[in-house]
Amino acid sequence: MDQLALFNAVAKKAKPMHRKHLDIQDLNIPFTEADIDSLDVILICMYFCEIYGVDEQTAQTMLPDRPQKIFEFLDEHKTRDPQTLEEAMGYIQ
Amino acid sequence: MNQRIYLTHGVKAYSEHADFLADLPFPQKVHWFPETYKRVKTGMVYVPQLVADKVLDQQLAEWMRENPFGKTAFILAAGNTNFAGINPRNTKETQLSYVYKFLPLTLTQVYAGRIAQAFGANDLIMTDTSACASSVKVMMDVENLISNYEFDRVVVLAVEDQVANSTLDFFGESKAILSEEEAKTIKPSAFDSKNYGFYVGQGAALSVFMSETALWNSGVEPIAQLKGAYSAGERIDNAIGQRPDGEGFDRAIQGALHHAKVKPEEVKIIKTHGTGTHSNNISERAATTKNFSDFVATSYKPRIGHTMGVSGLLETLMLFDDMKKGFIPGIPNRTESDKIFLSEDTSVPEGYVMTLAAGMGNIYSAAIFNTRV
Repeated sequence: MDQLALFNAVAKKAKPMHRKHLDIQDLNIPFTEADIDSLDVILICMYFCEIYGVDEQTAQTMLPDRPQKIFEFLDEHKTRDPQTLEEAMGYIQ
Repeated sequence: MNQRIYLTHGVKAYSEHADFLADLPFPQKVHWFPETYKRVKTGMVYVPQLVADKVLDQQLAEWMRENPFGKTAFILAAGNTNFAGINPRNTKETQLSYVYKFLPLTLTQVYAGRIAQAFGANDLIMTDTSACASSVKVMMDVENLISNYEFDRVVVLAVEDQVANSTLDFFGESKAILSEEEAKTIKPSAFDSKNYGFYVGQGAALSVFMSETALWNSGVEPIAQLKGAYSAGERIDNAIGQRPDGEGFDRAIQGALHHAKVKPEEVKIIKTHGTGTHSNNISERAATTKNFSDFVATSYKPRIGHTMGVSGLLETLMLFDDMKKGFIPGIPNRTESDKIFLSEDTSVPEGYVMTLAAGMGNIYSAAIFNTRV
């Protein structure tokens, strides 16, 4: 799975209709430098937890400051592992 | 100097399709968009937002954002302080039960803030919770903002979570909606001696109001002029009741006439609240016939259901569409001939339009429009 492509797809979905998401190129870019605000982060985290089957209580403990931290958290707590972008996005459509 | 106020955009969504939901504590028919509940159990989709998406015109939002003019406000006419779909009490699991995973977006003001920015409407962002009067009550706010606070544009989004366990429980418990047993012999109607009542319905409406200065600068064709609006309460101890003499409606009507500087004889068309309940029939008929002598009145609720806080604005936009087509629609399922509370479609009389709404908690709202602009 291309994590960058997945993150950009999820971020696009999370942002409100008037804010275009510019694809990030580096999973280590801080959210503050990628025009991803605090509400975006909440939505992005919930979407990722749904995609990877992380229960809600555990999801509340995720406090990432950059995309890479999300994937590290998911590696530890995931209960499923979608193999394609289509499969992953299918969980949150 | 008071500015003239124009309704310039109106987008609406409603459903004439009705299904019987058998698994509710109070089984009932609802007008709805079944697809908005298709993936609701995942908690990843949220019904009010899906319904709002049907009216959120992205091109209009972009145009407003990229063409700022004066001060722009956003009002979410939400009916309630939080969207009602969150199950507020321990009710049995139904096809409508879900747990939404994005808690911040269940708060109306957070949702309003998010949508307001899309329209560049960030000089004031507010929500209104005047129950079923909400989207007409906010017309008083529109008038106030433009006339007294120099706002040039006000975006109004009316949406709430009508087809929710809590709402349907409430109306079922209070016997305000038609039960399936009643529906064997009774059809939804209003101001009728035999048929009565309504089903709950999903719907949303989006509108933009502009000052005349903003209208000239934008070159937009207006739909109607908002002449004036007013909201009022009434003297009654029952917060879910209505006075039979129509005091609340009467006060709202007289307030709107006063602020619009319109004489009663100039109002020829009334879009009633028209729920068709026994109490509303008596109350609204008393107030309208007391204030007006030569008018026609209609109701859209028998056709699309009661869309709660959305209903006032949504039905007003429907009326303007029908008037453009050349008629005022008769009230569905009337069983007697009536030329005032219309039993049949009629041609459009020349005169102003009054739109009325009432909400739980004893709130009544009225707005007057001139469609010949």
